[in-house]
Amino acid sequence: VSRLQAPQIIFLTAVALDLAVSIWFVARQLVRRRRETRRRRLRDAATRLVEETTAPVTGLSRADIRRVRRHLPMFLQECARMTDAVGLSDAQKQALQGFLAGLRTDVRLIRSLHSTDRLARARAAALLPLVPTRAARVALIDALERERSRSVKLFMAAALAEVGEAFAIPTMIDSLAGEPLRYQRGLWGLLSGFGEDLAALLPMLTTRREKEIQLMLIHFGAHYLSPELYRYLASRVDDPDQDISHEAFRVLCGAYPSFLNHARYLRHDDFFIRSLAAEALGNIPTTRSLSLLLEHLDDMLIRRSLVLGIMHILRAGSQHFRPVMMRFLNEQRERPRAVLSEVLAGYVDYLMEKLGSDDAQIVGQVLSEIVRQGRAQEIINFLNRNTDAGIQRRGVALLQNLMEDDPPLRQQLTRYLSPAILAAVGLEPLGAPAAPPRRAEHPNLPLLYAFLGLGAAFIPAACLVLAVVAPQLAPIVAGGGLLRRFLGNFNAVFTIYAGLLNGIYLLLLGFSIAGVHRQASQGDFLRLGFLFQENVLPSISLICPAFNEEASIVESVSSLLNLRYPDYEVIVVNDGSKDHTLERLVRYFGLERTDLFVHRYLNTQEIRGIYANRRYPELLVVDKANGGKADSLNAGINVARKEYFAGMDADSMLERDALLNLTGLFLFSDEEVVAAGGNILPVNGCTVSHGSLVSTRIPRRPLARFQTIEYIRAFMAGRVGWATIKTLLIISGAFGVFHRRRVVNAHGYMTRSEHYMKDTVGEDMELVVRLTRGLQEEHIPYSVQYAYNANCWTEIPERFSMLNRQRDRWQRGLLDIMTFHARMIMNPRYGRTGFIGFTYFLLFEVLGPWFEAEGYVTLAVSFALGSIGVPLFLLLFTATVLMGMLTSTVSMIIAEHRREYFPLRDKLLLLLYAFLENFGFRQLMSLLRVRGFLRTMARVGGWGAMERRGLGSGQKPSSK
Amino acid sequence: VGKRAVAGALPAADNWRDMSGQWDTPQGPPMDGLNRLGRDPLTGLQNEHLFRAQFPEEFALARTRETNGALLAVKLDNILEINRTHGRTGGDEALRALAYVIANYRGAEGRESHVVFKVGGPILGYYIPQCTDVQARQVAEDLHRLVIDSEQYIERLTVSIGVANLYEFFLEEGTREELALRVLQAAFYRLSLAEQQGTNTICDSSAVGAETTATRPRVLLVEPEAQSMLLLVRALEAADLTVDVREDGEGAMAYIQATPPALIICEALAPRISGFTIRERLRTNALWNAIPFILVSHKKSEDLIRKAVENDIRHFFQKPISLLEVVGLVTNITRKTSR
Repeated sequence: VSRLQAPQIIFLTAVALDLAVSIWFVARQLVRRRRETRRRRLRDAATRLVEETTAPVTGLSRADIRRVRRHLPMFLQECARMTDAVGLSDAQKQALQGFLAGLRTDVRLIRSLHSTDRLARARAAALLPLVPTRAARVALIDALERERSRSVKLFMAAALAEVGEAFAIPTMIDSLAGEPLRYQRGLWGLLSGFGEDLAALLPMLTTRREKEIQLMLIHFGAHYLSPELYRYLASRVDDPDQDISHEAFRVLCGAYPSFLNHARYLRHDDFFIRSLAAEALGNIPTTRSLSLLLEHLDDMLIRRSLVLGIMHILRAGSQHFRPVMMRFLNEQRERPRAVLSEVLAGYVDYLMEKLGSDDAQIVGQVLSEIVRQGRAQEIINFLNRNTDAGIQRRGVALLQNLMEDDPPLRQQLTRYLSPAILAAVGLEPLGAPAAPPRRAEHPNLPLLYAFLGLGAAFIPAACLVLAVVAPQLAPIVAGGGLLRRFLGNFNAVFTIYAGLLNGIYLLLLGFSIAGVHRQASQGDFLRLGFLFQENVLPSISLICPAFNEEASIVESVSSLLNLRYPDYEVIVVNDGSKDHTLERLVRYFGLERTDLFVHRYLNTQEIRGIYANRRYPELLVVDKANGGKADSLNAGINVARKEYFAGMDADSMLERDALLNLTGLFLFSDEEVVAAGGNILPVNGCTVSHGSLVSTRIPRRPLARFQTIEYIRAFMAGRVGWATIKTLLIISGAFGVFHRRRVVNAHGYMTRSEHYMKDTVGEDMELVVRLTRGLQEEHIPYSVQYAYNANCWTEIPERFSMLNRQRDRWQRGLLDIMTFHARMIMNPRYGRTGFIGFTYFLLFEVLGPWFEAEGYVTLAVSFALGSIGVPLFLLLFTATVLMGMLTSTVSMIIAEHRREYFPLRDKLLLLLYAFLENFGFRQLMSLLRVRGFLRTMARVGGWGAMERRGLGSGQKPSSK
Repeated sequence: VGKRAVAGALPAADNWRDMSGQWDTPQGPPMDGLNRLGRDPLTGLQNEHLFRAQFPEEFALARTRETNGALLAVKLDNILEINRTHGRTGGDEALRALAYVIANYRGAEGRESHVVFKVGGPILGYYIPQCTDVQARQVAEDLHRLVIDSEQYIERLTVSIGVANLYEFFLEEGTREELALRVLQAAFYRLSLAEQQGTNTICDSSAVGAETTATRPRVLLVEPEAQSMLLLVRALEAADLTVDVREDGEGAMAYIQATPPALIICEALAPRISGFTIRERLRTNALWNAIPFILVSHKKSEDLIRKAVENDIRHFFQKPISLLEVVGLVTNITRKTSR
């Protein structure tokens, strides 16, 4: 083959590859169908096997048995799935076990326990409970002793707990040593399941001094009530280690509330114990509890708990109000008065209604005193909500009395009272409402200029220099002037650039394929019965900021409340909506304002109230002043009580198993998972009913179809690949899970009220970058995960103007991050994220669009001048169109690894659009990004007044 | 409003057809002239006695003209339940509400010739002269739906309907009186079949009814991953029960509304409409509320148990459920209720 033919060969190879992959994409359906048939037959065989309890093997035909032998792993999977939902009787278990032992399944699985592959060991452990022979149990105990990987250890322990192997308890307890809390917690639940058997070991265990064992026993105390454990817990409260003493006291309060000597614990040296005791007293609403609490009013360290405790008692019975009010009015000291005013301010609703009763005089004094203590806001909020004319009249009279000699109060009233009541009070409303604060973004202008220089000028200059210095190198058809040589050089560099970019993508795709296969086989042996055990999966707070979402909020929230996940709560944050978002929620879910205490881990706009309903214990609604999406998420984090939190968009829809699929990955990670993301897919073409998908189709508008390809490519190929090589930097704002403590320590999402005093539009990516940066600086091992099958469906822009705005925002967010964290670029200190991730973003996302835009212009000029030769053209076509097609098609194949998203017709259409996007759409996207870059710089220059748009949809696939 | 409207719609006029004031149509309906006899005091409708006296002639006329007609027997399903909870007056009110709904339906244009009459107990008769069997079925469906949708009574009312078509008896031997009686008997027999099918339904064929009397109690399983419950389904079927599976809450609600099953086994985390919400909706209706409801789920936390108790759920099993336990419980319950 002569050198001249090389471009042609490359071109033809690429065409052939493209065709082959496309055919495979379409034809895979058939393969999948065969697999499904096989799976169904095996499932059927498993069912028949246990149905015929008397003669198990005769239940299966020869063909069945042959099939089972040939596909034993799949058969075992089906058996496991069967027993996961329906527990077998002893006879059935024996039948199944006998059959499997006959196939020497246990021997094979035991052999796998020694495999070098972690996944194989975990799988063997998960399947061994199906054949719990003596040998299998012993092998599991042995394997648990030897095992190094803590994720595999958890599976082994779970298997031992499932077969109820009491001899394994000591080994399981020993395995706790030195492990992080996450693992310990998983084991606590499994060990508690042993009940009596574990209790029998108490005499030995209570003398052990290892912290892990003490914590385990304390947890056991919450599940298993016995005098011995009670004594143990009581003795642990005085342990010098605070983790132990606090936990022990917490369990004591929960499990033995009436056995506590509260008076003693209220004088304990440790203020944490004192505050827990105060809160625990609130659950015993007696006069004695109340007087005990009132005795300790000057203990400022436990102020918050005192308030909560007294409020709890007040809620239990109105007879307690009188003593509290009398104490409040008679109290001379400042601190106790402040505590009591906080308590009573929480019951403004009740007190305002009492204003018309016999107690009117006392209540009036109390309310006036509350206002003097600076808590007028509660009364203002109440009056704004209130609809009763009589109460309003009395409230207005009260305020009028008070404001006469109190100018600050008058000001406060003017600002916050609703116009109607303001008029009743006799105050003039303020003029125009204060303009919402401008977003405070402070991009770094010099760096932006540097990027601009690099992106826009560097390569053209280099090509020009090359054209002058080395004219013989220019790939041109026939000799020409400087312009032609320059164009030729530029086209060649452009070809290399496009090839490199698509090459990187194909490389990532390779990683993706490996990652997706691994994830899929992990998912195969995760059973719900195991996942739903206590503490196996982390608890999650879903934080769902809502800004003017009244049309869809109720349906969204109902759908979020119906996810399949063991332990989660939904926190809706109403970001100062101007419509009836809050009212809709309050009415539909019958919510009431509660006195939940909110920690101020993160600074946010003011939280106006928290609403809940005991019938929906997993739902909380936070009402706060407007502050943008990041601010709302921070407020949600303050309220959240779970280990992890998930950032959401109110208008996106989570699939039922999205959380389960996402956190299922955590079980296989030996490092602590600090963040994890899932797919974002366009819901535009789909049919939705009751907040869940009925059928999935691609969108109808061409613009949205192009984006569909883009999303699939960016999420499936890009992010799974990035996560596989541990460099994932973007987690979409529409669906991402984060470790709450870690995020709090990193100062939460970036807002102007928080640590860095600045806003950013790319708050989702920025958080991941900052989080990982901090962990790397502190040398804490961590991992960022990405699940290929945890899906979130969201509306994508169908109109060009909206798309334009979205891309503008993405580019601005990216530039903000690149300049704010510029230190990380190419910095070996930040490992792969700095060296690979950031370099990629700089080259292909920040500088790339400039070069691409220039490349398209050059190409057009070259065509016009006829200066581009066939070989170069073929190479260029291969590098852009054909390789791009290949990337898109392979991405779609990966996406549909275990599940078909779209019908055949839609798939063919997607292929067509994957081809068409190279002629217009991609170019357009490059131009939009260049425009975004310029607008960012212009805004810094000061002339682009930024309009406030509330919460935008924050999803962002890394483009290309 | 409902009560007053009933009284207003049924003035004490002496013509039995005057319920909506359209009795004096120029053509004169086929059964004109039979207006002197009694009227049911409770509902103000014509009574069964009057209808029976006149029906043989109507039957003979239809047979000579070879035009089909249909007789519907409509029974209020939850009358016992209502009597128990709201007392006799409550039951009477419910019946008046039913009479109002049906008389109102008959009052629409084009139905002047239809006849509504009161039979003993909570049963009304509805006669349609000159209609096809399809039209008769349609009328039955309309009535069924109208009653369910009506808000005349505090509780949701449902009816079972038996339909007999005249042409089925045209070729039979016997006097017109005997045959007319047989039509009446057929309608009532089919009504009893409809009730055996679980009430709140329509039966228009004795043959279908004969089958359904022999059918086994139906159990509804709401489970998105039915394949994982294959074992349970097989075991229930082996225990002489029919099992129907719906994969989500929406399908389950539609199923229950069409044909209430004898028992429901429901996954608490059912897609679209959760098990708890299904139960909440069923509680709004006396008939559905009585269907034993068993909840199953992998997730069984204290909060959920509390919620289940509040919603009056019979049993809440955590998966993996014990096959012996659940099948035993289900057979026990269905045996009790089918007796």
